[in-house]
This record gives sequence, C-alpha cells and structure tokens, in this order.
Amino acid sequence: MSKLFVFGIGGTGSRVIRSLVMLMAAGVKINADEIIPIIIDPDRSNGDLSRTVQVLRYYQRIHEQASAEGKGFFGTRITSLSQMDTDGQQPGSGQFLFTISDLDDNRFRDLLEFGQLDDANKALTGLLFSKQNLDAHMDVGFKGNPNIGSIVLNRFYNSKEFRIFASNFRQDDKIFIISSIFGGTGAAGFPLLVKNIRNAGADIENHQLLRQSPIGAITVMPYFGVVKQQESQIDKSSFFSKTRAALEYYFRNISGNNSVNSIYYIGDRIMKDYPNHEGSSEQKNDAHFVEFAASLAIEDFAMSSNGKGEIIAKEYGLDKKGGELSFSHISSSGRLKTEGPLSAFYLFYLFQKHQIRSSVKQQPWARSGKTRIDKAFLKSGFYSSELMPFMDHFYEWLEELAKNRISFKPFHLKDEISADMLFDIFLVDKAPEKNKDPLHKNFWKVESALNKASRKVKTNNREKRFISVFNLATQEIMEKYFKFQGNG
Amino acid sequence: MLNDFFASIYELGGLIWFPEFTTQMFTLGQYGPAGMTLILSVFVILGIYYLPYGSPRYNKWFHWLLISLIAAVVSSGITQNRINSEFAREGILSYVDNEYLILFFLWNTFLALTLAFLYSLAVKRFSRNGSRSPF
Repeated sequence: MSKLFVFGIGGTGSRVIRSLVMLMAAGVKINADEIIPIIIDPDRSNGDLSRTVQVLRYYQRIHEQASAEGKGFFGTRITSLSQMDTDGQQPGSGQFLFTISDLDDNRFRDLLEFGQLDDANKALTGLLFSKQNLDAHMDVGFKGNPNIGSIVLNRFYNSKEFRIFASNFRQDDKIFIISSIFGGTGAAGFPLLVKNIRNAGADIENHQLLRQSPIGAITVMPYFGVVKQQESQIDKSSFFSKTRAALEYYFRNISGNNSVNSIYYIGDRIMKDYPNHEGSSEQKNDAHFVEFAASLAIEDFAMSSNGKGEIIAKEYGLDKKGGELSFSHISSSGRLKTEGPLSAFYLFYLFQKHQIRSSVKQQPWARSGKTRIDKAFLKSGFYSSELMPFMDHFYEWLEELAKNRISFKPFHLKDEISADMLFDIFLVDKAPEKNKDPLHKNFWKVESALNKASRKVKTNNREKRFISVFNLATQEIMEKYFKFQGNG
Repeated sequence: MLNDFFASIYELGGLIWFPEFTTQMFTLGQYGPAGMTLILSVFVILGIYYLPYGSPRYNKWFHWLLISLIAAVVSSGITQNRINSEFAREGILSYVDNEYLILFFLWNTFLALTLAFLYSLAVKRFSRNGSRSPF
C-alpha cells in the first residue's frame, strides 16, 4: 500500500492542497493508496490554512463513511500525521499541521536568544537581519522574509511530526513538496525540508529509505500581487528579485545536485493584487488556476516518478494568454484526467442544490430497500453537516477560480443557468450529444441514470449507497452524453 | 370459450345482471372482444408507461392514475363503440335501455382500472424509473 506524503508549505502550499482535495473529491485518480497532507505554516490562523484544514476534515469524514475505497467520489484515503501517531493521545484527531515549537507569542529576536549573544555576534546578526526582522512576531509567519524562515524552519528536524513522518515512511512511498518561491515560508522551507530528508541521520527511523525516497516538488513563482502599503513588510516589487535569488540558490542546492527527482515550475503574469495582509485570518486568497495546475503536478509526479535516474524538470505552459480559460485550453493530459470527474462532481453538486428534495420523495433510486434516502437522510449529520458543507466549499472554489485573474471557468456558475436548461449548458465549452435520449431532458436524464445505477449498487450502508449511486450515475451521464472518461 | 370466460368475469358469476343487455352481449359473443380489448388497452398503455420509456418525470401516483384512466377509457370507448355497432347491425339497439349501456361502460372502466392496478403490481419492479409508481 503506497502512500504519498504531500508537504504544503506556507499559504500557497495550503491553497494547492485545497485544489488537490477538490480533485480527489471528484474522483481524479492519484497514483497512491493514501495521501498524507502535511501543512507547514507558522501562521496557524492563516485564512488559507484554516479553509484547507476544514475541507480536509470534511473529506476525511465523508471518505470514512461513504466512499467506495479507491475509486469514485472521495475515493482516495486522506490520513493526517496525527492519525499515524500510534503514541498520540488523540488518535484520529485529524491534525494536518506540522507544529514548529516555541513560535507562539515569540519575536524572532527571542528565538535567536539575541539578548544573550556577545557583541560580535550581535553585530553579525545585525548584518543579516534588520531591526524589523528581529522584532517580527513569529506566530504570523515570516512576512515574505525567507532569511527568517530559513532559521526558524530548521527546527522541524527535531519535531515530533518529522519523526512520525519518518517512522511511517515505507519502501514504495513518495514525497511531494509544494512551496512558493516569492514569499517567506515556502521559499525558506522547501530547501530546508529537502535537506533534512536527504540528510536524515541515524537517529531518525527509516533514514536510509528517506535518503533514497522519490521526492517531487513544485515551485510556484509569482502569480498574484498585493496592494502596496507603507507599513507592510510584504512588497510585490520584491517578488521577482526574490524569485531570481531563490532560483539561483535552488539551482545550486536542489535541482543542480539532484536532491529531488522531479521538479515542476509554474507562475503567471501578475494580473491581480490582493489586499495586503501580513498573515492571520485575513490572508485568504481566492483559488487560482495556478493552484489548480499545481495540484495536477502532484498527480503527474505520483503517476510517473520512480525515484530513479536524472532529475526531471517540467514547466507548465498554456497556449492562451489572459482571458477566460476552460477545459479546452489546458493540456490534453490534464484535460483527460480532470474534465470528466470534475464535470460529474459539479453535476452532483447541482443536483443536490436543485433537485434532491423532490427526487427523494418519488424516485426509485431513493425509495428502494432498507437504505432509503429520505428527508431524514437530508437532515442527517452526514448529509447536512459534512457532505453539503464540503460541496459548498467545492462550489466556492469553482466560483473563485472563475472570478480570479487569470480566470478558469470550465462550468457555467449556478446563477447563470436555470434548472430547466442546466444540463444542456453547464459546461462552458462542450454541449451534450443530442438525440441520445430525447424523452429525458436536463435533470430527468440524471434521475433516470440514478434509477439505473441504484440497481447496481449493493450495500446496506446508506451513506455509501448514496455516494456510489451518484458516482455511477453521473459517470454514465458523462460517458454517454459528453464522451468523457469516467472516474471509476 | 373466450366469451364464456369473460362473461363470467363481467357478470361476476351472475352477480351483475342487466336484463336483456347481458343476454344479448353473451348471445352475440361480445364479452370476448370486450375482454380482449380491455386487456390489450391496459397492457399496451401501461406497458408503455412502465417499459421501456418509463419516465422519472412522470412517475408520481397521479401520473399513474391518469395513465390508468386513459387505458380504461380507451378500452371502454372501443368496446362501447363495438357494442353499439353490433347491436345496431342486429337491429336491437333501440330495444336496449341506454342506462345499461352507460352502466356497462362504467363497469368496464372499473374492471380496466382494477386490471391496471394488478398489472402495475406485477410489472413495476421491472421498470427502471417507475418501480415506485403508483407507490
């Protein structure tokens, strides 16, 4: 049973993991039996991080209760590091965060024990770090300062999480690292993490395996800006100089010496400036196409890398500049893997919003057997407190992708279409094949497919049956009317 | 043979008896065609409703009731038309009380509805979209 450990460093790491979760929920196949997302971000109240952790928890609970293991919606298992900790006091608590000790309420100068340094060392420290750096509070991240991050994040080698990770690492497992290069946390954290894995000492369990493990990474270059503010330490004009400097460093210490097996690069022209928040809950950027494409790099790595041979470097490219992207603009391999599952999942979402209440009153798929789907089911904790909140996150993600710049809008948003014509035009750039089933239109096609699918699903678990029936039915719709590859 | 069989159903073994009318129906062999019309109307119309075009949109109980009523009225209409023609051809139409013709129409409709219900119970399980119709 192979595992893929996905380290998401900083805000970009969290956002790419969010995209990955959405793809996995839709049933996009990741070549691993289990994904272990590990988020490294000292800014624990970061809005991007909170949102990602929330969707990860919803996903886990839905998977546990309802998925057909290994395929379809919510098919791939997600496990947190804390759940792997057999000595943990709260097994199964779903802690996805990599804790870095002594950051709470501490300034950088306290971590360095600056007050206890002799004058010579104080002077040297003063050359490397400004007064503003030294006074920076560590619990809101590194505010775009990789020189701080490289000191603080070096602590994770001795952390409990690193040891849990190492002790659970097995022969066929792989590691993927997501980081941005133009901020503080990601730019500093990526080379440190690679160094600590490749140089794992004998005091670390499975250190030999770790040293030879297949490691992939995506380096996200600038793709958004922040509004200029005098009092903020984050300045978008430094993004490119930081990127250049970091790339040179990576060339010598990461790609140049084959520390990783695969490296992916992605970036975009800066077309949108976000409000300048240095961290905390206000740092919550809209989902972006770059994050979506970055999450495809994880799938690509899991599928292709075996950890042997020369380093493979890939850069993401599009034919189209600016404007609005849809599935027809992304690469054929990316399109093939995502178009069908995401379309099926969006149809699943739309059905829940428009049709489910009337459907459960009458349709055979809902009313047959012991596992009846009724109004009580729609009020159950699984449906109302886990599945639907997740689906709302999914829609929010789609909406953000569509409204961002560059815009990725593969589907018409729900406000743009009425239920009566929804099925025919929910995809932006593909119409269903006509005359396949002239007697059933729109959602009635789905109802009919659901009724057919329900006869194939044999389980006494109501939640499993619900997800499986929708998975089969939407897959059939996609294959029959749109000629998409399924997710099963 | 068919006439005897359907006569026993239509007359419920003698419980339903419309003087003159039932005798003429039997004598002219009209129970057979009436019964076959009833069965064919119900089987064909409800068969279309359930299979193969069973629709998820029209599987509520009142849709079933409407289809069953259509099948029953079609059956009774065809039968009534044939009886009228047959009785007229034999020159006995003017002797038959109109009230009996109407009662037979209603009785045939009721029987068709009953058959529609029993038929539905038997075939609905084979219908993808209508297996919960009428209930």
